[in-house]
This record gives sequence, structure tokens and C-alpha cells, in this order.
Amino acid sequence: MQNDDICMDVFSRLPIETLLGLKRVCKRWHGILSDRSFVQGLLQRPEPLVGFFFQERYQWAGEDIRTISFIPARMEDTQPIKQTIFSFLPEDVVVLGSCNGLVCCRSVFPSPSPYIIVCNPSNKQWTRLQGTRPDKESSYGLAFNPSQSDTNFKVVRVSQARTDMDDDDSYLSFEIYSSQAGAGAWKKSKEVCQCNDNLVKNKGVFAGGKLQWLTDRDRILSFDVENELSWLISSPFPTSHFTAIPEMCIGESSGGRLHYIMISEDGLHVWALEDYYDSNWSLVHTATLEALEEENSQLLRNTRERVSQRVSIDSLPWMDPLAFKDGLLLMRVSTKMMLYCIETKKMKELCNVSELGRNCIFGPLVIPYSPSLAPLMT
Amino acid sequence: MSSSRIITLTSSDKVDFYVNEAVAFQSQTIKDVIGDGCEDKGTLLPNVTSEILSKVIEYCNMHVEAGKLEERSGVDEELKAWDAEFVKVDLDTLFDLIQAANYLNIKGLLDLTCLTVADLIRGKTPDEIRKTFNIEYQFTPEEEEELRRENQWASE
Repeated sequence: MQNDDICMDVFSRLPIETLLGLKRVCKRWHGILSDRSFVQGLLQRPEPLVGFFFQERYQWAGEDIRTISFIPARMEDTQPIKQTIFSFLPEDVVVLGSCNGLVCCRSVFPSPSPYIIVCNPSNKQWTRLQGTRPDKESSYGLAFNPSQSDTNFKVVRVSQARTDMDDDDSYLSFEIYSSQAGAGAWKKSKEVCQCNDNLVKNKGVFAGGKLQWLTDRDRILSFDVENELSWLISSPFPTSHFTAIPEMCIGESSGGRLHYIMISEDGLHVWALEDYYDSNWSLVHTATLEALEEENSQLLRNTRERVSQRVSIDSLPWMDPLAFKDGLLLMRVSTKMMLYCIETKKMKELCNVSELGRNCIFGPLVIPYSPSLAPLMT
Repeated sequence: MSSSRIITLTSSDKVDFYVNEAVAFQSQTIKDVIGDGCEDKGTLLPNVTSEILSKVIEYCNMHVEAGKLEERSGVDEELKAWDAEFVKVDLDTLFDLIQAANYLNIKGLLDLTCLTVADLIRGKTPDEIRKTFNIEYQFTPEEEEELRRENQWASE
């Protein structure tokens, strides 16, 4: 029969999603898969995307919506939405970001003592970050780049401040929490960024060692976590060019490259960032709305007409790219959530928006998730 | 640097195999042990039976031959197809091949055989896996339920 070495070699060629299920086969396999050094060995391996976390937000009300849905991202078959992924945590949370299997969240408001929590839904471990009370206005990003010897993570908090009462002169400041430094370990960075924009979509995308946010003035705020340097990247295409207002999102793909997705009356375009400092993008994928409709005729109809109708920023886009990772785009088309594979140009209907709650049309939090076995408790 | 030297490999059941140096050196272990140029007095492989050794040599032969071909187009697909047929063996033979590839340090063969086993596991329920690998069912219903709940990402 098989010895442990063979088992480990074979297991190391399977995705985490499969490995978690193998723990149920027998006690020996359970033991091998729980072995600390085996788990450490897997940490550097890139994991495929398994799905997206989706949490609605009220447009006007101050309180948070508690339900977090997990939408599995599979082209081959359909799996049901799950809504109890975070029930292992001590309280209800709002998801802030995810990186290499870890998820960063904060207590829902209102709360008597709110916390930032970093957790791993694959092994149900979690830890509360001491030292700062989270607030609703700041943006947070999780940076986690594990190696065999280093399982430390960093959380970056981006806050807006004004130099004086002049509204046009606000800047962004950064605080960094390092899990390595221990309790009370938030450190204010010397770096600031002159920027009036609001960070609206795709919270804290970690690509190429940098955390990135898409702003409402169509730029990308980038923060190099190791070197504590911020930078504003221009978008690849001026949105003023269009008659109807396009919708965009950013995401990471192809091993750490930042990608920018735009859906407009001209179609679906995907760019990859080539040069960070020159804001140099290369177009890696393009499909006209007609081509999308032809390839996916069961799912799309009158696409151009509907996309062209959005002439006011206040009206909701009919086709909204929400999150992107590893070549897969989650988008809302009317009342359906679709998964689009840029390589095959095929679209798959994942669920109806009504399954995710009653409020999800406005600005939801959508975060791609790839599992990992990274431990959070020492 | 002679490339036509014949190496003698002896299996655990004392059968001698005569192979070309290039073929034998597909095994990093053999390459390290025999080295360059010195006279080969035969190498005993106590962990590999003649049945398995002959299959391993078959693999190494094919991959050395494929590596020699000038015309590359179509070779890779043909080799892949050959590899796919090569691993259509019973599970015990497959595991013996993994052990041999590991011991003899033949990366291509180790990758091929381990991936084949991985493919046998992928997409199967725990029950189906137990059947395939002849594993005894050991958990109590409570333990089974607890393990089922532990895994957040399972489809069932």
C-alpha cells in the first residue's frame, strides 16, 4: 500500500479544496493532512480561486448588513450559495479583504467594542487585532504573502484627513499592523498620499506586493506594503470617451499582475498593468457586446441597448463587473450573478441576486477567495 | 564522454538488465552512483523487482528516444499519449512505479505516476475514494458528521 511519503507527494498536487475533503477518508490521511510541516510546505503554492464573498451594504443607513454569502465560482457545475462560512467567529462581521486564504474583517456596527479580526475560514482559526478601534470610513487591506518560514500578515488602514478646513486639500494616511510585531502593533507610516478620491470598489486587492483600491475618480491607489510607498496609477482608458457611463473593477491575475476591467458600450475590455510608475497597461482581452451575446445567447439579450442606456452616474449599470481574479470575472447582469471566463469568453449563471438578500444592487462588498491552510494560532 | 556505454542493472529478484548509459542516466540516483567513465561492475537495485524495473526502463527508453528526435512538431502530443497508456496499470503496479521513480530519482516518471493517482482522487467522494484504494471505513457516525461540518467548502 502507500507509504506516507507517497501520500504527501500525491496530496501536494491537489488543490486545498480537495485536500480538505480528503480528511474524511481515513484517520491516516487526516493525520498526514493535519501535519504542520506538510501544511507549511503548501503555503507557497498558488491556489485556484474557489469563489467570492458577497456582502450587501445599505446605501444610506449607518448600520451594517450581517449576511455574508459565499458564491462558488465554478464553470463546470453549479454549487449552492453558502451563508454560514463565518459562523465560527465570535461575532458578526463585515468582510474587508482577503489575501491568500486569510480574510480580514471588522465587527458589525453598532458595537460596544469593535475589533478587526483576521481569520482563515478553511481551518476556522481567527485572531483579534489589538490596538485600534475600527471605523466605518477608513479602508482596510490585508497583505499576506506566505512562505515556508514566514506566515506573518499585515493589515493596512487607509484614512482620509484634511490639511485644514479646505475640502480640496485632503490626503490619505496609512497605518500598518504587523502580526510579527505582536500586540498593540499598529504603526503610523510616514507616507502620505495627496488624494481627494474616495476608495469605492475592490477593497485592498493584493497584487505584486502592493495593496490596491479603485477610486471614484477612476484612479488606482496603490500602497507598497514592504517599502511603505503610495502611488496613484491612472486607468488605462479615459471614461469620458463614452456616451453611456461604463463600469469598472480591478483584480489580480497571472501571478501578481494587476488587471483592470471595463464594461462599456464598446464591450468588455481587460488590461494588465505592465509598468507601475508609467501607468502603462496592455490590453489582454476584448469582446464586443455583440460577441458576448453571440457566445452566450441563452444568457444575454439586447445587451448593447441596455448598456447604452446608462447615462447618469446615479442610475445602476445593467452590467456591473464586481470582482476579478485569475481570469474569472464575477459580474451582475440585471438580476443575475454571472461568472465570465476571459480565456474562453464563456459566461455562466451562478445565482439570482434575490438569493443574496434584498439590498444587494447598491455597492456590495465583493471579495475573491482562494483557500489556504495557513495557521493563525501559534 | 562515451554515450554508448552499456550499464548493467540488477533487480531485487536477481535479473540483469542491460541498458544504454543515456537511458540509465534518466535516473539521477544511478547517475550519481556510477559517475563518469569508470568501469561499470553492475548495480544492484534491492528495492525494485524485475517486473517494475522492466517498465521503468521502458519509460526511460521512450523518453530518451523522444528527446533525440529532430522534428519536434507532434512529438509532445504523441509522448503525452504514450505516457497516458503507460500508466494504465493496476493500482499496486502504479504505487510500485511511484516507489521506484522516487528511489531512482526519475522526476518525469514520478510526476507522471503521482499525477495519475491525484487524478484518481480528484472529484471523488470519500466513499468512492475508499473503494478505489481499498481503505477501511473507520469513523463513527458522530466523527463522520463532525468531519463533514469541519469542511466549509464541501458541496454536500
